[in-house]
Amino acid sequence: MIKLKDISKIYTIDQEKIIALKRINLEVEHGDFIALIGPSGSGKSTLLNLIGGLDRPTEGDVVVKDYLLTALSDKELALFRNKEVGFVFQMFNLEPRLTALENVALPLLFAKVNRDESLRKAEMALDIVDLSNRLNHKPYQLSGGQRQRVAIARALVNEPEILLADEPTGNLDRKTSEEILNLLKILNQDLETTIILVTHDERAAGIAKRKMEIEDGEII
Amino acid sequence: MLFRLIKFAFQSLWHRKLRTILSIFGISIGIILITIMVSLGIGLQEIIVNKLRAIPTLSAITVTAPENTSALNQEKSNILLNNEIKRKIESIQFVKAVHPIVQFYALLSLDNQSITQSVLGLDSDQAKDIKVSAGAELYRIALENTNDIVLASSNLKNIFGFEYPEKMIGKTIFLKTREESSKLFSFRIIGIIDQKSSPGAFDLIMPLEQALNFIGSSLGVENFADYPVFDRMQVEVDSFEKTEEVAQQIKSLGLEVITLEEIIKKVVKYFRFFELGLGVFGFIVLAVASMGIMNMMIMSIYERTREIGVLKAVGARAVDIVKIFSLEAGLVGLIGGCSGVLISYIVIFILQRLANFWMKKYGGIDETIKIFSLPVWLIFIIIIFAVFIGFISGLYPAIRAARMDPAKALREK
Repeated sequence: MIKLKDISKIYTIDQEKIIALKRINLEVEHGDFIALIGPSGSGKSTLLNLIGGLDRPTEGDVVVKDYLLTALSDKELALFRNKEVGFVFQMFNLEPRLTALENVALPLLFAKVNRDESLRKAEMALDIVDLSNRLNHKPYQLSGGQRQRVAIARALVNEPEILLADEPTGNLDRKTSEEILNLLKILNQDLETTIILVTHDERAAGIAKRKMEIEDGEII
Repeated sequence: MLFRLIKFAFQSLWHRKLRTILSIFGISIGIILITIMVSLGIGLQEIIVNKLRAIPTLSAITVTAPENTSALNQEKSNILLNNEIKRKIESIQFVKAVHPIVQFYALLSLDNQSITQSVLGLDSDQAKDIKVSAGAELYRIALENTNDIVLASSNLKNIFGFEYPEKMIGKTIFLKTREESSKLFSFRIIGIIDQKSSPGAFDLIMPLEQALNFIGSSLGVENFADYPVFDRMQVEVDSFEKTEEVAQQIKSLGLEVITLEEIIKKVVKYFRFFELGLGVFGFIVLAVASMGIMNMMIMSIYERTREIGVLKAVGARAVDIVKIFSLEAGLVGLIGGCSGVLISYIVIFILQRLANFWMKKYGGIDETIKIFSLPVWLIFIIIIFAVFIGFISGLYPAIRAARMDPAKALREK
């Protein structure tokens, strides 16, 4: 389902080359749940962005489902992100001025789904993350855990097969973290969503089916 | 989709109220200045053009001597507007009638109050066009062979301290030319000039013969009434189409010719310059306002870098980002434009009232004159223009936002 072939990513900052990823090869099957662990700056977030089509590798090919991401235009990549993957971030990244329902419906706006259908789908997604009673709350009216659930609902609203989570528990306390991790596990089991979880927390990585360690841009 | 994008843009503007309001304020000040000035320009132009068209005596050709001098010192000019010239013009084909006019300044005295004002002398045909708001009409009395009658403007009531213009009727007014030596002549006020029918700001109107006698006697010129020199002549033409042809022939006599259409053309041309000046001024003001919007949008994009990253991550294309941000700027323009027009409307209403109050109190003008004109088409153009300004100002920041690298934008703290 996901195939990375000889991926390298090199950043050039002030004429100095920084190698973020070194010839990475990786294959992920449908329904897999992978935890990418490693210290900060190890390149794990970069790897996640490459899989999600947010960034392009300097060398190598990224294949997700039937898409050769490295051959897509910016516009096609936007469409790919919209339809095929869902992102969850450490900082939740919700629009502060929109309600939970509007936040979740946001990707559907760019998918040109009509208003009623959008709201129906967004409600369903919020039901999956158990927030049916918080539809019209603004982010500041929600707890950290609830915000992250809204963000997960937003990632799920277009029914993607792949969920990419970048330190989703990094800003949460221990108890809430466990709830979020359990939610991810349930999504993986019940919806068969393929999940790639980036974390530096061994305990968080424990719920994944597979663990991969990255250090200095290499899988070890 | 567009409606939801507009809602989205509106929500983010609302989220940064103070900055949004300041930007709206900037653009609306520009719009207010432009609206008021353009409506003043259009209003003044309408007043002048309508006033000109309303003058019956001007619907023909006005003839003056080459150097437009007054009756009192026209001797200096080579060609005199005398009876000989009058007969020559009368003999031109298609000329229906020639009406001589004199116009001079005189010192008017009434009840120990004195003032220098302009006086008009009209022949009986033209006097018929002058309506009165009170008292008797000039030509009716003139038929009775009297030679000491005048019509007064309502303006004089303030100068001479009357409560109502009607109270001046029957009073005797004394006139002399400004020359120290000249004699004093007395006239009876028989009516009050209806401003709408007056061919300009004249405070006294009298029959032509009377005016010629006054000038002649004042200057000590014998037989001036028999060999008069006029200030202007109104030439009536058989039909409007022949006006230009007749005007050319009069010109060939060495006289100056003014037709109504020429005057209107000149007025409109003058106002084009006026409006152009306003346009340049307004453009500068709006350019400043536009920079304000641009600044606001660039600031906003810096602050919302991560938001832009998120929008891209959930599938917004570059086009969508451009739409979102230029819509925001366009909305600022729209709200600024609408509020600007609304405020202008109120300001114009107040200025209009003030102007009419002042004109009534100090100018003795009783009719309501519309100084400002704000037609509906102008309102629409101004608002569309404001939206356009906003949109253009937002375009560059919006394109910058669309070009952001999403991975980098998401890393932004």
